[in-house]
Amino acid sequence: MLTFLQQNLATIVISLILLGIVALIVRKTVKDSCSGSLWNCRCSCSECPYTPLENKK
Amino acid sequence: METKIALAGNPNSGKTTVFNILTGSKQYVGNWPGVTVEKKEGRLRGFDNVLIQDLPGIYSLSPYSLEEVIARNYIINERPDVILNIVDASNIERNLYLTVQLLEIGLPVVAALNMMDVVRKNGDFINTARLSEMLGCEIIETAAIRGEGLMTAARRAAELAGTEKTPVPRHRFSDPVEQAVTRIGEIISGTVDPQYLRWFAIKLFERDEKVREELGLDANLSAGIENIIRNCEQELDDDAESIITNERYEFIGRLMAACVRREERKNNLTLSDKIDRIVTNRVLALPIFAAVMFVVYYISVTTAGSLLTDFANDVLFGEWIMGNLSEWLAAIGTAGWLTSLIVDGIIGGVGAVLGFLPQMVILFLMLAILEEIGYMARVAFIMDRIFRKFGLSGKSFIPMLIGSGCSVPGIMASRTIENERDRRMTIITTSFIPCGAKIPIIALIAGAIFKGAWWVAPTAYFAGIAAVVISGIILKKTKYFAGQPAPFVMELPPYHLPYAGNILRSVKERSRSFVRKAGTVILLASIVIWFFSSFGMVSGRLLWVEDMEFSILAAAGGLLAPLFAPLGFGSWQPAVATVMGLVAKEEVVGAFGVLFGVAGDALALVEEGAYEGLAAIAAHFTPLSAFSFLLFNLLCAPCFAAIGAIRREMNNAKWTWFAISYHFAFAYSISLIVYQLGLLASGAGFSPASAAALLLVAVLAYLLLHRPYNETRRLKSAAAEIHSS
Repeated sequence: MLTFLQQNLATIVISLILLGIVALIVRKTVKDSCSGSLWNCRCSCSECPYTPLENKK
Repeated sequence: METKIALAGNPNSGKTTVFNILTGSKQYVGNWPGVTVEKKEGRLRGFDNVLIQDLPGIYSLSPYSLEEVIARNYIINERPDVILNIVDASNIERNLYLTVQLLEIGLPVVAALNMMDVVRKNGDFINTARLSEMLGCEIIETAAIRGEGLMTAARRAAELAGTEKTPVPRHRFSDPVEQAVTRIGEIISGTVDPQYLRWFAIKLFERDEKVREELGLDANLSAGIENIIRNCEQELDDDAESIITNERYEFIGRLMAACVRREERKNNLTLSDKIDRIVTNRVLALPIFAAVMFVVYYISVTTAGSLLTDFANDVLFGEWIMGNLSEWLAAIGTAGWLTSLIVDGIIGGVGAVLGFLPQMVILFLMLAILEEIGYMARVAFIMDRIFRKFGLSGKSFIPMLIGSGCSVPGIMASRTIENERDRRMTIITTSFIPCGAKIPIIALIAGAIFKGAWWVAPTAYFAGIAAVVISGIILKKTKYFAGQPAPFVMELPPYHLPYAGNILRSVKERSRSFVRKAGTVILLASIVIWFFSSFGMVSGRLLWVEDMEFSILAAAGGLLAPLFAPLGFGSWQPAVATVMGLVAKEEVVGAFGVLFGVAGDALALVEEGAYEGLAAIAAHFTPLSAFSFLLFNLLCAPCFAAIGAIRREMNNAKWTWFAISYHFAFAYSISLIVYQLGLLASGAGFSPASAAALLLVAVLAYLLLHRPYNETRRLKSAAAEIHSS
C-alpha cells in the first residue's frame, strides 16, 4: 500500500487538486442554477442595467 | 430614518453617470438612450441612510413605453421622498417637459442642470435663479462627467426630503383646465392619496387609460369626469391630451424666453451637426458604416489582435504552459492519463479559448470607443432607414449593437420595444449578430483554414446583418409578425472624446465574462469531451483508447455527423464541436482544442503545414466546407445562456421553440445552399443534396418576394364572403 502511494504520489496529489477544482466549479454551477443565474452572460449582473432589481437582491 | 431619492430624467441625460458617482457603483454607461431598462438602487456615498434609485430615462410620464411605465409606477407607488431630476441643460427645452410633469406630481423636486460644461462651452447662458423661481423648485448646476455639483445636488435633495412642506408648482394651466382639474379632483378626492390628487386629476383629464384602470372608478363617476372633460374640450376646441401638452409647452416657451440665452452660431451648426452631415448622409452613411465595421473586425481579428493571439497561442500556451507542464508532469511521475487530461483536455480546451482573448479585448475596445464617442447611436439611426424597408425599426438595432458583445443582454434589451411583434422578431434575430464568444470561431477558421485572409472576419459580421435583414423580410410577411414597424425616435447624443473610465469598464466587464466562462463552463466541458474522447467500449468494457475513432464521443458524434454531411462537415469531430457550441459558443474552439489538439502553437503549425493536427483538420475541412461550418455556427441556435434569455423575454415556450427551430432551419438552409452551390460552381457533379440546395434557393426566393400578409385585405375578403353568403 505504502509502495503504491509512494509510486503514485504525484498522480494522487494532482488528482485531488483537480477534483477539488472541479468540485468548486460544480458547487458554483449548482449555486448559480438554484439562484437562477446559471444561464446568464456571466457578466456582473449587479451592475447590468438589464437585470431586474429583484434578481439583484 | 431612510431617505429615498429617485433619479429621473430624459434618456441619455447622464443619469447613470450621476448614479455611479453618487453611489460609487460601476453601472454600465452607454452612449445611447435606453441603457437603463430596470430601476437600480444604491446608497449615497457617505450617507448610509440615503437610498438613490436610478430610473429608466423617460420623456414624459405618459405610459407610452415600458420605461415610462416603470418610472411612473415607481414614483407613484413606491413614494420616494424627493425626486432628483437630471436635466440635460444642452437640450433644456425638451428636458423641461418632464420637469414640469414631475412638479405636477406633488413630491419635492431638485433639478440638476447637467452638462453645464457643454452649455458654457457653447457660449449659452441659463439664468438658474430665475428658472428656479418660475418653476418652483431648487436648481443646481452640474457637470456629471467631471463630477461637478453632484454631491451638492444630492445633499440638497436629501435635506429637502426631510422637510414636511409639500411643494406647490408655479405652473398653472388655463382657467377652464384648472377648473376641470379641480372638479375632477373633488370627484376622486376620497380614492387617492391627497398628495397625488392634482396629478391623478390631470391624468384623468388626459384620459390616461392606465390611471383609469388603477382607480377602478364606477360608471357614474367615470361618466361625470368624461362630461367635465368634454365641456372643457368644447370650450377650448381641442382634445384634452393636446390641451395639456400645448399648455405645458407654452409654459416652457415662457421659461426659455425668460431664462435661456443662446449664442448665435454660424449656420447654427455644432461640430456634431457637421460630422453628422457626412456620417448620416443618405448616400455616404452605409458605406462609412461598412468601412468602419470592416476596419474594426480587420484590426481586431486579422492584424493587431492576431499578433497578440499568436503570442498567446504560440508562446504562452504552446511553449510556456503546455510544453513545460508536460515535461514537469512527466518528471514528477504523473500517470499518462492524468497528463493527457491536464495537457490535452484542460489546457487544450481552455487554452484554445483563452488564446483568443487578445482578439476579443481589441474588438471590445474598438466597439466601446465607437459607442463612447457617439457613433453607435448614429448606426441605429442609419440602420433604421434600412431596417424599416424590411419590417424592423432602428430600435431593433440597439439590442443587436449590445448583442455584439453578448447576446444575453442584447436579447434583454429588446424589452424596450413596445410593439410585441417587433419585439419577438428582434429577440429571434439578435443572436445572428456575432457575439464576442463567436470571435474565436471566426478567428480559428480565418487563421487555420483561410491563412488569415482579410475578408473572413468582416464577412462573418455582415453575414449576421444579412441574416437579420433576410429574416426580417421573411418573418414580416407572415401573419404573426405582419404590420408596420413602430416609429423610431431617438435623440442623437453629441459627439465627444471617449471617456477612458467608461471604455475600460465596458472592456473589463465583457472580457471578464469571457475568462469566467473559460474557467468554469469551458473547463468542465473540456474535461467531459476529453473523457468521452479518451474512453471507449472495448469488448463490452469501458477502456482507455489510444485512437479517438474508437471513443464514446466518436460513436455519439458519428450518429449526428450524417446530418451535417450535406453541409460539408460530416465527420464526428465538427458535429461534436457544433453541439458543444450550445454550452457556450467558445466551446466550439475548445472542443477543437481537445479533439484536434489545435491549442498552443498548433495554429501556427497548422498554417505551416507541419503539424499532424493539420492532417486531421484538412481531412475534415476544405475552404468551402470550413466557410459552411463557420456560417452554420454563427447562425444556428445560440448558447444555452442566450436560449434562457429568449425563454425569459418571450415568456412563452412555444415562441422559444419557434426561435430555436428557426435559427437551426435558417442556419442549415444557408450553409447547405452555400456549400452545395459552391461545389457546383467548382465543377463537382450534381447530387441529391445539390437539388435540395436549389429547391431551398427557390423557397427562399419565394419567401422573400411573395406578397406580404395583409390583415386589412384578409378582413375585407372575409367580410365580402359573409356579405355574399
